[in-house]
Amino acid sequence: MSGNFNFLYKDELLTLRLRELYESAGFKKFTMSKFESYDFYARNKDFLHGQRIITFSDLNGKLMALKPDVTLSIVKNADGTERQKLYYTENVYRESKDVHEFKEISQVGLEVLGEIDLYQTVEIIVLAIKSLLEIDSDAILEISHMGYIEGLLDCLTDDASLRAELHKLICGKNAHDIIKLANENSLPLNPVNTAVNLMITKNSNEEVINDAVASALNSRMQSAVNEICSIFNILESIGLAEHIKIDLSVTGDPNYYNGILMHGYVHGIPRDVLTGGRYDMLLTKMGKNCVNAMGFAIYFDALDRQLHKKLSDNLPVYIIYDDKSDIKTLLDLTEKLRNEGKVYNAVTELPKSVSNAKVYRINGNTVEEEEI
Amino acid sequence: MISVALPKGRLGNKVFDIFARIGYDCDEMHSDSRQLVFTSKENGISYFLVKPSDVSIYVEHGAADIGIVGKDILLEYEPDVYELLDLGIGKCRMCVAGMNGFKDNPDVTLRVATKFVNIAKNYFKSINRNIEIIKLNGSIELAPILDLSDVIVDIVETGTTLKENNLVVLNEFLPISARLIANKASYKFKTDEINRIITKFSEELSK
Repeated sequence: MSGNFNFLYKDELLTLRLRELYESAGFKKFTMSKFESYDFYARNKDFLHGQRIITFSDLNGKLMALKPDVTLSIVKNADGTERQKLYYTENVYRESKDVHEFKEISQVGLEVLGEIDLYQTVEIIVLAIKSLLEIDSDAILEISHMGYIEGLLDCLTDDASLRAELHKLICGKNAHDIIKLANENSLPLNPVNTAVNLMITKNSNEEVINDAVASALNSRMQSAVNEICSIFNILESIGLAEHIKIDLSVTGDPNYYNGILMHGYVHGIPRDVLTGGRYDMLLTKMGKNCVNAMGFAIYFDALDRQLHKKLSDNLPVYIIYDDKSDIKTLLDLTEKLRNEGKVYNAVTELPKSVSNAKVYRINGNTVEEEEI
Repeated sequence: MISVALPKGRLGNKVFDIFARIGYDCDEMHSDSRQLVFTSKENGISYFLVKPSDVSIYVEHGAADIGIVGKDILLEYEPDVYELLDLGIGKCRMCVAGMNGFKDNPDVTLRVATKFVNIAKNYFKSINRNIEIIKLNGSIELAPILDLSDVIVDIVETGTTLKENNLVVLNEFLPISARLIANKASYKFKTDEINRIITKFSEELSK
């Protein structure tokens, strides 16, 4: 991106850079309507993890919802005729768990709906890595596969509540309670050991893959690890493998996700700032004709503290003029400062609150420069 | 540098002793200062002591990379953290207790006083018992004595306080012990350092 953007906040520039990245990869901007029918969200409440949404009655008395989620809206509007590649920058309104009130969350993300082959999958992962690298050059994208965990759970139990409990424990890397639960419910030893082994951190992604291949207990696990392996080899060949961490103990909601899962981490932020994955199950649930869907979202609320800063931290610049100042000299100076990318304030008197600034005084047609 | 949130009190002291034995000692912790953060640059570790129920908050929000917290707190607040190790110390039990001679009448909603609202709700839901929760922040044992509640749900270590107040344990439903938790993002960026601590810790505990 060329030009001088010093007046922008870092998050504003990041949004523009991400838009540039997605547009260049052929993604079209999706703009969602502010209000949508509540019925639709109520039917897909699970996808929003039971989050409360802001509702109100429109002028016809119909119950409406205020933008709770972008993915659902994109899927709803998908026609299923051809592959759609969409990105968005939207604010959504969700309940904040910590303070028990609604919060406005700024999201940037993309979705691909339609047939998703290996190339499409890799393209989305590459865009996710590049998005993270725009924020932090040492960012990590954690990759997992729902098929691996689900395949493993198939070997353990059919009981839905027990599966949910195991999901939670695997996600929390809680090996000790898995062993306890397995003993209490007499679960088969071999898959339990595989589950425990999944949680042990390996030295490299290659080791994770080799271990996962050796531990695959059924075809579901095998095909999941094959997909991960193909993706990793491609990422390695294009030099992005160092930003990838394969961790097959990471899971998502099995009612919606069915393939690759992604979580992105950057330094200084205590939680994932990017989440996404393959969610064919949502399409099936919503009765859509599209075969597959995959995407990710970056949550700006987590990044706010780090990014909501001006790009330029130069001293503020003040130009002080009076009745006797030559206006042309003043305008020439402002033009010069603008070209240098400086942000200036032309005032007749220095504000009392200013303690540290670069000051230009226009005396007639001469300019005096000082720093205070 | 790894930052550790320790619970103030007996458990925190006990855990710090283990940290010190496995090579993460910190001289500042031995002094009687009023410092809040104790750092040992040579061992690459810093400690701070917080209210036990706040440990998971410090870890979840990334102010501490790892922390030591009771399973009761993890079940009550369900923080989004990794639970990497059961230390097997600080053991106690989550119990339902009532006045000596209390008989439950299943036709009436049971009044339950507790600090642990979610744990109590989940337990009674699992046995299909209708309850009304009375949230208290301390001196839970007082509630059935003053007929504020029928029973209480609370942690029992030795049972002495219950006995002295003519209360009895009606049901023990959850064994509790201290767990080592880690912030999810910290664990991605400091995997080796955190794993080194976990390995040394488990070796020391199994001695």
